[in-house]
Amino acid sequence: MQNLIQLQPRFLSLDSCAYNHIDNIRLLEISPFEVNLFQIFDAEYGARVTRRGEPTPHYNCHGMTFASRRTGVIESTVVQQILDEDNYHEVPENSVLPGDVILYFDVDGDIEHSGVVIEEPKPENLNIPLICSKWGKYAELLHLRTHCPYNVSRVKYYRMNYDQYAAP
Amino acid sequence: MINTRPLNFNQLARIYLVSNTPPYLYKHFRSDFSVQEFAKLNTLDDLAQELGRIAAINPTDRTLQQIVIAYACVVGLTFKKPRDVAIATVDMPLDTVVWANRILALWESSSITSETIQFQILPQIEKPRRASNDANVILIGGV
Repeated sequence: MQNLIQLQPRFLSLDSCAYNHIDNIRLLEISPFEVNLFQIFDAEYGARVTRRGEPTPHYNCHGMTFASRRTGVIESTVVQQILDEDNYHEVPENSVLPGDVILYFDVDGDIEHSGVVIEEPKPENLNIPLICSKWGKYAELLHLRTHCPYNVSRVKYYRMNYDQYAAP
Repeated sequence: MINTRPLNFNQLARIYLVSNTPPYLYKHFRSDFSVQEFAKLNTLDDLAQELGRIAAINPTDRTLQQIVIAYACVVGLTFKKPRDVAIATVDMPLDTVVWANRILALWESSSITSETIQFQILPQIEKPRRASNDANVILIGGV
């Protein structure tokens, strides 16, 4: 029972640039069985992606993209809050630069995945940008925009607009 | 007694492991045919009891199969009547199935009730009536 209590999710103190709290959850649970099953992904995507680091439940894709890998952000509304309050603006794919954020949307328009662009579209990559993102409880991976288990047909890119940000 | 035979564990485990958010897990599990069959095959009580049983297991001791069954039960409940599900899960400690309550809340906020209310309307034959102040009304069949 003590173990059970220790494994309860935890929260971090985290604010947006507008000083509003960002809801987050730091999961601590990962079983050896789950780790073993990650070999499925290693086998399926291994030839096309580069895994950086081991599987961890502590943060998810949004936690990697927006919270410095310290915790997980699990609500689309919270991601939208970050985009608004941290002054992100959309960038067309042909203007994407390393460091920009990519969001994957499902068919209903909900944000289902995020990552960071690490290489802009280049002819040698068929003009598809290279992304670093975290896949659920699995690890961080370097992959082409189109090589992941999310809806790759609906993505948008974002960049923080520091010029327009006016601290209160 | 829960019947997990319809569940496509391999596919569901893959969905679970790459889920970044509760809505992603909910939508993908709910649209999975094997979960729909699982929900049909088991009663609400079966699903709720199995969910409660797995939730009581220490998370580090759970197999991936048990986690998949737990979330299949949660999503399976979303095919049942909301009022019955609320009653069955109201006192259930689901903290260790971390996204369970969030998924149920998502479903409640988006569900259109499937409960039916039956009205009994007896058939009756209306007699045609002439308006008392209208002499020009001609009724077919006349009164």
